[in-house]
Amino acid sequence: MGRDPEEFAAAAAPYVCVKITDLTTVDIRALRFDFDLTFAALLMHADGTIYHRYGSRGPDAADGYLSIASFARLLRNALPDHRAYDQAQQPPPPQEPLRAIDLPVLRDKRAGGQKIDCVHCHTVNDAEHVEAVRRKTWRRDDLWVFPDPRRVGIRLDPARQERVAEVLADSPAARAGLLVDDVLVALGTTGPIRSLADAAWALHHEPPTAHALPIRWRRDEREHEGELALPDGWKQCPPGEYAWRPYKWNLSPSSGFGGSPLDAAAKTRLGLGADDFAFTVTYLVDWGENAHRGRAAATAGLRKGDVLVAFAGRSRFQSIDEFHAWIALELTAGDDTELTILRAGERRTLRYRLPH
Amino acid sequence: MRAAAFAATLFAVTLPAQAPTAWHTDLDAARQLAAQNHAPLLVVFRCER
Repeated sequence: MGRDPEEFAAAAAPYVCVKITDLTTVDIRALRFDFDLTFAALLMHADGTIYHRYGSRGPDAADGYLSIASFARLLRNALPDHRAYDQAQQPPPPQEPLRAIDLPVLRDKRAGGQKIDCVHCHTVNDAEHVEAVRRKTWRRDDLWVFPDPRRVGIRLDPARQERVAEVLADSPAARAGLLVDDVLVALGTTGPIRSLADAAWALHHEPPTAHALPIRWRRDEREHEGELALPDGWKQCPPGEYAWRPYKWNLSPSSGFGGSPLDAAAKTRLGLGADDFAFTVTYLVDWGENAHRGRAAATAGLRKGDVLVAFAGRSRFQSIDEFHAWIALELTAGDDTELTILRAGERRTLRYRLPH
Repeated sequence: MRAAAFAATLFAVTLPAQAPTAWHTDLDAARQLAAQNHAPLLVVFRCER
């Protein structure tokens, strides 16, 4: 770890540090972040004003934007933001707190006798999703949570997360005139931007139907401003980039089954190539409110122990997570599809109407 | 460094003089302390699912 611990301890010294491993009593109306993450941090004032967020990830590696150095740097850079705010406080308007455990879905589960020992971060997403569907307020576009700034053409530097490391060709950022080494200052009404999580937060709050987003950036000590022209569907990302999100388990359609990947030796025994996608079906969803999905798969003839090698004619997936994300994002409930499986070494095709 | 390892590093951090970073677990108490001292708050959420 080298100097990492010292650097973090020194940067954190001015802060009152809090570690939360269970959201049960946390006011999730006031303290919001990307609940798909397993690590997230808020830098804030005691009055509830949140200055910055940290902990987001890009589509590639879970830890690509996590480092002691970048975290410590954010803590240091946020101190002037805190001092300025502390001199001229504007507390957020008071609102009724909502403890995570009191989310309607969790309240109903407890009323039904279910014991909830711990409210995980992703549980908040799950519970809010179910409630929004119940109230008919959930829209398909709501699945595009916390977009990576690559959606507007900006790849941020993992070490200095306000720095533009790459401007994607033919993107809104390129057309707005951003260049590598520019420093993001603000996106929409959110600023200053000091982390990937800050940028994702700003984009999260822009509606999917938005077609323009003000942007400010710094270059050579001068501040510039412009507008990102957003195309239709600007928040959307490919299944491979969405795959890591637990949010995908809330979506419909869904396969109704899952499993574990085959290792190289098992693939060889079955005559598959090392890069071929294949997994052993280890479960059919036969529990909870989605048990109809597992029943649909069973009715189609699928059994535990089958090896799935293609779904709806597609056999190229980077991971089982991508497989599930692809079904949720690209297919439609009711689609007539085919499962291609190996059973006792024999290749079979099962007709499968994708359940909702 | 996966999120788990990153968090483990963070929570184990000590200064060379062995004064550990004090991690509070009571958010309300921490907010009061921060308000009294005009200190900023760092709230870390670590899901150990």
